[in-house]
Amino acid sequence: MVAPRDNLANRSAPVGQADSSFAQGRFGAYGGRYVPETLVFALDELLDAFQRAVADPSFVSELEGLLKTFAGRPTCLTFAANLSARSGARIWLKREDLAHTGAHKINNTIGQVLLAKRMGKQRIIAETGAGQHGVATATACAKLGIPCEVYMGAEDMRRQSLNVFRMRMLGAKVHEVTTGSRTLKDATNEAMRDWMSSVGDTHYVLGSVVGPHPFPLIVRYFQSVIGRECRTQCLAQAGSLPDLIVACIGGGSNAVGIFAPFVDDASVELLGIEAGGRSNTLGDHAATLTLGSPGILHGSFSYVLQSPEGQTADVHSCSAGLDYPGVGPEHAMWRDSKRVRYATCSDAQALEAFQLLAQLEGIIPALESSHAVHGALAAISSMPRNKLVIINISGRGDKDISEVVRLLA
Amino acid sequence: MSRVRDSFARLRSQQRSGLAPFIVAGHPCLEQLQPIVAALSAAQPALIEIGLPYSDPIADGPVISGAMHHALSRGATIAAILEKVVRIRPTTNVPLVAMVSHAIVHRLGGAAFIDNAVECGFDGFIIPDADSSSLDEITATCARLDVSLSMLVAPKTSPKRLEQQVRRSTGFVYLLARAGLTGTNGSLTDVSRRVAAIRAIADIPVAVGFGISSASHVREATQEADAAIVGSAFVRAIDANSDDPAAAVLRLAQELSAGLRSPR
Repeated sequence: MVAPRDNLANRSAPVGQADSSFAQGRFGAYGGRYVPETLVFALDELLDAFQRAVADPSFVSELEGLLKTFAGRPTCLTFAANLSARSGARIWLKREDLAHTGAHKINNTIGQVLLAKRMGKQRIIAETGAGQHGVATATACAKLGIPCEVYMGAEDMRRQSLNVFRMRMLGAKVHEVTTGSRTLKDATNEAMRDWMSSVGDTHYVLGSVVGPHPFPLIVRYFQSVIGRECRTQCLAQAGSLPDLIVACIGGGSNAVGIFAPFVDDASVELLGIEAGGRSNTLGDHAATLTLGSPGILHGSFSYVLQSPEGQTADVHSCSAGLDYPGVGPEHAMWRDSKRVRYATCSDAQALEAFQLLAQLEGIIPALESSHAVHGALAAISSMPRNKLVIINISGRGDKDISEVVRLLA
Repeated sequence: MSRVRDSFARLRSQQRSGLAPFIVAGHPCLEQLQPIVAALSAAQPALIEIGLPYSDPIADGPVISGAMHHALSRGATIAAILEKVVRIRPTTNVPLVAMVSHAIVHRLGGAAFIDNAVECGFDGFIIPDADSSSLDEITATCARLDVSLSMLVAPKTSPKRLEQQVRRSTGFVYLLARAGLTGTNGSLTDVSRRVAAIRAIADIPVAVGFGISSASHVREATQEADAAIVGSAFVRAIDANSDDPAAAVLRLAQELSAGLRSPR
């Protein structure tokens, strides 16, 4: 289940050989490369290195080895008996919370840091929102012996101080970003600016399926391990393909990771849950696909929360990992084609689901994943009984405890 | 483009190079746009590059992105800036070139935005984060309206892409003097050789920008090139003299002009 080699290229063709428009960086009309000219060469170089790496059995086996013996893959698929009894569906949880560092982010960072080393890069930079991607990047860099610097918004550093400490403990330098809204969007700007000046010897480990081509393709490839494992596990443990898979969406990497290997299975319904925040007013949520419009942000064309003149809007979510005004271009394509349905979950509903999963199943989910739990239960309430439903528990909730204590006070 | 074309043709006929100052519309405030443009016009630049503020300008360093955030926080909208340009246009004959993110161009209708901005008085466009595979309609519109569309060329731009960027450009090509961000320092990367590489593809004026902040940089940049683009230094001068930004930009333009190439 650690990505059997012949599995890497099958099903959803994660590298995109099956669909040349993917290789050109377009997901339908979305994607592309809206970047300063200085980065074009670096992105070409990265695409070339990535395509060579994934075609090289020694790269793939090194990656698989690290995923198995360092990151703890495969993560298990757990039957949620109590939640099932309560909801009327058969609910299984894909346990990315059990991956090393506590979230799915490690799948991508090990892959990209390995790739960077293969490219001869001397330094790694990353952006982070909740801090999970920053921690996962710092972890991969510590393991693989390469210096790491992480950009993080000042507001996120306050909300996620534990992760700031973890990154520093892992030897990473954390840069506080005080521009704009002081959150993930601004941290991404700063990381891109760093990369503009350092592109010769530095690799930028982007943390989600966003950004200029080939990042959405690369992150999709490394995160698809979630869905490949899940497919095999579901067939073996539950006896059939699922009727519904639910995942939360910020940039959308855990969702693309679990959805991609099922996209061609027409019987499997896919549901993405965005952060509904406090209200549907612009600035109060991060529901990009539900309430946004097509636009350009951070190098790709996708859905964006923006003003009528194209200025990126402020966003809000109780969950720092979902607090992003853009979304991966593949999600934009799936939204338009209706292959994936997208809905929202408010802060209050996520907090409820957070407690519910802890009390019924003994799993404290990340606030991000709590959105998926709520979204799944809401969807199940209008489905026939006994359907097979998988919820992607993208991360564990330890990092959110102090924020939850604050919100419940 | 007649203004952009005429301006570079005049410089060439006089065997001179020109200055291309960059300012951010709405910095320090929208009311100062006209006085600043008037002051810069007095220094007879090749053109004036007016940056339209964008919330997430990844190509710009802290100085210019700071000015953009400042302008937005003071309520500068694209609509209000275009209205100002309508009033400024009759007051100067210097070409006004908009530097605008593809995000804004797209949101405001793509080619329809270009149409509107030209009607308001802009003579050309630089879209620093353009996806060139998505530019066909905009390129055609710029050609139809006879305004400039300047594509960028970086030190590491491949020969194949260099040719595409140069052929897509009208008016002038924007040559990045170095890798990195606006407002950075260090030595210029082989500018004259790269100007020659562009000229080998097409006979088109070349403006060199990024990290040019002194008369000696201007001298180095325009040995072969037609113009030197100076951005962060003007923005800094405005920041440091918010009581009279117009006087400050004129002073700086005169200082920098000492580095321009003139007939020997």
